Amino acid sequence: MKARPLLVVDDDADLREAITDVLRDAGYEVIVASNGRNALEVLARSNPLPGLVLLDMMMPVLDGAGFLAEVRKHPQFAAVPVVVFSASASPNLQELGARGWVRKPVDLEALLEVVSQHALT
Amino acid sequence: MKPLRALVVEDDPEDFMLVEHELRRGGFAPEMLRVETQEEMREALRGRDWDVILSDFRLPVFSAPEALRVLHETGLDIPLLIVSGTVGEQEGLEMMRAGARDYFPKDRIARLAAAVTRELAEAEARRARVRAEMERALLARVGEVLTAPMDFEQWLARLVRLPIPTLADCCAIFLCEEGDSLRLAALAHEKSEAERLEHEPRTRRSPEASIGPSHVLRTGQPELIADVAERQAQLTQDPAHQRFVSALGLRSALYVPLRGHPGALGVLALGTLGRRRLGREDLVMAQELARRVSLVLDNALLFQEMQDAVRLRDDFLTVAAHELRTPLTTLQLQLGALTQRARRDSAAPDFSERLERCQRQVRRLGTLVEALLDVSRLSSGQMLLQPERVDLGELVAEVVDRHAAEAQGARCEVRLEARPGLYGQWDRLRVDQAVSSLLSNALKFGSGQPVEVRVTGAGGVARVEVGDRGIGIPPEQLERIFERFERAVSSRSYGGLGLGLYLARRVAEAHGGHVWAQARPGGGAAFTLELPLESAEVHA
Repeated sequence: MKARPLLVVDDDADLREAITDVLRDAGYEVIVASNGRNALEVLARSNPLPGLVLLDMMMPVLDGAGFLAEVRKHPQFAAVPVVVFSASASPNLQELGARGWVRKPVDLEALLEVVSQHALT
Repeated sequence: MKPLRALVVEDDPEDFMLVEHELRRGGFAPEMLRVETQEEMREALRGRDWDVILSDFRLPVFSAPEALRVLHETGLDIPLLIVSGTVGEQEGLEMMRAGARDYFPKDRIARLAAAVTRELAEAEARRARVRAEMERALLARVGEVLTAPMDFEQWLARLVRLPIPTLADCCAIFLCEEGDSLRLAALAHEKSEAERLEHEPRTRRSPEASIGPSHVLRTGQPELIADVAERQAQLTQDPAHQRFVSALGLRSALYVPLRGHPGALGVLALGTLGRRRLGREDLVMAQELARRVSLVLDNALLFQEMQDAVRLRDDFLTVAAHELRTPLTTLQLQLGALTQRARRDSAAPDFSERLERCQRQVRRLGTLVEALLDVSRLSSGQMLLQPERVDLGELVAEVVDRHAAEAQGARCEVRLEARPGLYGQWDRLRVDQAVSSLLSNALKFGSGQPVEVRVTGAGGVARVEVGDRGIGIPPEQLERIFERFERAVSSRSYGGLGLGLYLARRVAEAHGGHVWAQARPGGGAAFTLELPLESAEVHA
């Protein structure tokens, strides 16, 4: 079976690239999306589904909260864990429907730790 | 000649003329109406106002006791005097017990005018007493509503109910809104169905209006319209006024401006129905009412403005935080990845060391950004905590660990001595932030000397003491350094925003603790952070 990729959703191209580099260096396969709407399209055509979504909350077109609300409407996506970039010290993950969170700015070690903790293989 | 409106209950036209003659002789210019039956008397009382009622004792189909009953049914306070050739002392006294003010057999009629004068004065005094009592009670109730904590709209709705029915039959508050419009913010009416009248709550202020709310707003002067029907033609000029009057069927109306710090706030409107009319004395009362309402309205608006400003600032800070953190994250991750590769590929010997230095600076930038955002948020408002069970010794050890590079850079040996098992319900990130700023501070000002960190607990409190052997703090600066943007030394020789200790103090206070600084014997400074321990630990 093909390994599950990680989906990185952020509107900032440089940050998307930085995260992608770090995760690829650590041996993950990475796919990207630039906003919530784009991420839903990527999800819809992913096979297998991503092992984890790393989600920025503030994005144009469809933000993080909007993406999570859409995901909840599709039971086939329910199993995909989502880790959010949160501005608040401890966001209400249950309310958001997310599995974990990291706070920007996050350093390499902390990011890799959260990813390895939540990503499905 | 004094005007006098006298209602005369009398069947004999000659006696009627005799009464008129006596009144004229006594200095009155009477305006009189003669009635002979119960129905006629009721009709006369409904139709207009009277200063006095003069009643014969016995009429063919009516009598003074019945006339008194009719008067009492109306609830009006009009003096009634018996004027009759047939009334004896016994009957006269009985009538006075029943509520008549005096009685005059025809042989004593010469004293009638003097009695009427006296009765008018007494009736006036009674009315003034009732009026004063009504005003006192109304203002007291207004005071109660104005100071009660409630929602703004709820508060307006309660307020407009108060003047009814004592002062007026209906009451409304119009408020100025953006773009020159007036909003009917609250309306109360004696007949509650009128409050549910279909109405468009907003109207444009009319610049041409010569009466009504728009006019009052423009001139800032109160306005009494004693007879609405007479000024019907002018009503069309002010849509707000037109609606208020025609929908409610008003007899008279009174408009008083509401004024606050930005100028005109709106208009308080009072109205009466039926025969009742508002007069000069109501104007004085309405102005007093408007003054009190304006005061509270002004405060409510200021509060609302302040809340809007705070919301705006919070929105800005959320966006600013996101915008500042995003590039920092990119830099931090790229530098992290580069450092790893440099180590792995054994690049030029000082390459990875330089990258690490870059990383340290990015982290520092991150800390400064967070501190700045924190301070903006804290400048108005409370620090919100997310408490959890925290082991203080463990947390401090982590902080010391994280500052290893910084300590090395400052050539400080950090000596940690921590008592284990000190637990409290604290916000981990905030306490971490407070301890970090104390340690950073010691490393910055005590470079080249050892820094001692002790974690102790006693008497229900835990303490983190950070002592350095640095330049010390002059005694007069010991408190000031905890203020925002304050520092004991010039900002040229030492970097930083001067926010760390301020934040540490806010963190300590939010937890119900303290933070303070002391000069150390033998030089240097000691900072102590004190936090309340978990209650079970007090006895442990």
